[in-house]
Amino acid sequence: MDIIESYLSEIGRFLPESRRDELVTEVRDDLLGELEALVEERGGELTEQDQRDVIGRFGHPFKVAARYQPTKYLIGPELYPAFRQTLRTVFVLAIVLWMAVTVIGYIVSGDSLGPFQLLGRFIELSIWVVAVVILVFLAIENSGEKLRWYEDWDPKSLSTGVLNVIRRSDVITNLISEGVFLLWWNDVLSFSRWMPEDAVIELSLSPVWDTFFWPLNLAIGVAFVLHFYVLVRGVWQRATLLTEVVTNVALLGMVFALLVNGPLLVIEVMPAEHLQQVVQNTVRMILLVLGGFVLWDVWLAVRGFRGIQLLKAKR
Amino acid sequence: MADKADIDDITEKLRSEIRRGALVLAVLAQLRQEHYGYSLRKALADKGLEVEEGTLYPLIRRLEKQGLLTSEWREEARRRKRFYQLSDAGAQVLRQLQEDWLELDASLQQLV
Repeated sequence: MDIIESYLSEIGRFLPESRRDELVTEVRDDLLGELEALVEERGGELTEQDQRDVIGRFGHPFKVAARYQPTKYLIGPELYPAFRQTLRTVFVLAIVLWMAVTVIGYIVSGDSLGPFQLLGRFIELSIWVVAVVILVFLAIENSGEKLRWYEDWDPKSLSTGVLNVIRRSDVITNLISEGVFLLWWNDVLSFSRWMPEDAVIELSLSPVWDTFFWPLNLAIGVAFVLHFYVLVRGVWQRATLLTEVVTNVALLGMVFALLVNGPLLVIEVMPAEHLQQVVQNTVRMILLVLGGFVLWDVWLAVRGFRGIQLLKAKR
Repeated sequence: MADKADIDDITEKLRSEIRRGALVLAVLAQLRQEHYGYSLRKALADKGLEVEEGTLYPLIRRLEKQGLLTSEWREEARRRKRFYQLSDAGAQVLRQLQEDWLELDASLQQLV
């Protein structure tokens, strides 16, 4: 095989099989055109060094193959800043949530992990997070949706949002508590060993809670998605504040419904009426505290609204 | 502050950006007459526009894929060669680009 064919064969290795013959033929045509011109100029046969010089001007086979194909990005320059920001946010969130679940698991169940297990889980989680975010952005890059986002962008979206910068610590706290709750509520995370093994009583939630299985999943799920979105955007806007208020009012309704319904717990060991009363009151106290937190969230959202109104009035 | 090497580097990058845009116009204009790869490169070089092989040949292919050029494989001097010429769509684009170029040139004449 002469040097030209060897070069073309190398280029072919970097080309897609479906277009390989076509593109190699074209590069051959271009190359031979250059060599012919050199023969004409020299008035005789070319040496191997002449051929090498012409090939050298064309460049490395990989570069030549790349030039003859459309430019393709895994994640292109337009999407890259959003990709980096999302990856960072999701990564921090996933790690913090995982740490919270691990710590809670250790406190309530005594499950502990050795340093190598911890490192292994951390690496595994990191790989999952990076893989999922890359796959999502890869899909966006190839769907062409990103262009519609940019084209449909309206400066109106800046009018109020930038004025209500979030407190990251608040939003992250919300996300962690909602994440842990969702994992527990859906049996992904178990606190079955909350009571000591030799306990004389066994506590479980009464059937009253079953009614709230999907409503709570929906409300807390919406809150989780909302807080994640707000964390990524970095600002509260009208729509997100409204969703925050609606979600919290719904949660407040559920808390109230739970408070007036009873019994909330089932205690397996009998007789234990007096103990049931004590535990019942404890749970009611917890629900009251939760209600207080929810009310605080509503207050923050309302305050955010008032902030927007005041700033609008100032303009 | 940027040293001379940085300035040379920046200048080179900006120069190649300017040339990249202008090169499409030059290729379309030159292909009002039929050419194959090397003859086009030589014709442009004869008019003072030296273009590297690695830049010109993929560009012709891209313009042909976009429908701005037509191409035909033909035997000449005992070898099959691919000849390119401006298509009807290419002629329309060329006319528009020429107008844009002249407007841009007029504006730049006032600026530089």
